[in-house]
Amino acid sequence: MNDKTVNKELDDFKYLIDSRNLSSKEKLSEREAIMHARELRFKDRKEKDITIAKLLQIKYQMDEYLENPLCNNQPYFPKFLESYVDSLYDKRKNFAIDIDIEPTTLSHIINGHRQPKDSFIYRLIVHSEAVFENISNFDKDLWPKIFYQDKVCEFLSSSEEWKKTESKHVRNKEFLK
Amino acid sequence: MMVTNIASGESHRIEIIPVVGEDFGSITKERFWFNWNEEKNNEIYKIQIKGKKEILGLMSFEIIKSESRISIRLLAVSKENRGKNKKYDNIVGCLIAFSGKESIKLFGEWACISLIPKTKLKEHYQTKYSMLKAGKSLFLDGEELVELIRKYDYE
Repeated sequence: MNDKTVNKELDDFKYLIDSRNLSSKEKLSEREAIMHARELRFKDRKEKDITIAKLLQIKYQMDEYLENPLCNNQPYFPKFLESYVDSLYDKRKNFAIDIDIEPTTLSHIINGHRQPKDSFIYRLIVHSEAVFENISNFDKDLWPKIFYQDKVCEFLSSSEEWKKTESKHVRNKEFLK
Repeated sequence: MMVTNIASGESHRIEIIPVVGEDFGSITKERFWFNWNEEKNNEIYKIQIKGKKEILGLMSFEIIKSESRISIRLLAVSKENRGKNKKYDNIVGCLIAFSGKESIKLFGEWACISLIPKTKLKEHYQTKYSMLKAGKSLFLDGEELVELIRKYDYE
């Protein structure tokens, strides 16, 4: 191959990656090298960067839940709220103070024992928008979308139950027959 | 995320979604360099302009849970989008940033991505994507990984 061909191929490989061709021994050695380099870096990691990564993780997981809702009888709003609060605060009561609600109310919402009022969701949106302002774009409707997606899932998963009782009250069997 | 049409300067919103069975007819070795059938046991993603069917690039990766790492196995930009006469810019960056988002979604503060480039191109990836050296591999984690995602994931 002449220089021109070699350079063309190298230029092409800026758009092509093949990381596959390693022996088991080489794979192990690469794994160890990466682990070692990461350990050294993690020691110097700033608290702020750790929090940003945790917040992005929550945001991406929320986006995914809305794209592919898992209706498995488990509400996700309390789960995401818990992760959000714990990423930012050492004590949950401090978040409650920051959004002007009773710590017990927050605790009940996180534990799924109480539904959030609209005012709670509004304050959560305002809080999140401020937190994400310098991190990533944040859809202000994300929290309410998660909350109502949970409701949709709850409704769908109980459809067998309510159909049995409620169909007794409905008379439309003659239509379009 | 966006790719830019080099001729017009226009930006186009893209989507990166899993490759499905019917795609294998069009992802030939001629356009995408590698034999992608060999990757069927791994996660393969395609990048497209939203609302269009043309595949601009492909990537397969392995999720290594025990190391909180995503290892990019193969990545290829379509033949028309490589080199000096390419039509769209940012395809590789969008794909690498996507793997970073997936890693953060799975592993949070422990997230990491890695790849093994050709030795002579290590510097290119280090400069363009701020990747760090470890053995033959390049990797990204922490602040630099978040920065790369921010660079490409804007709308």
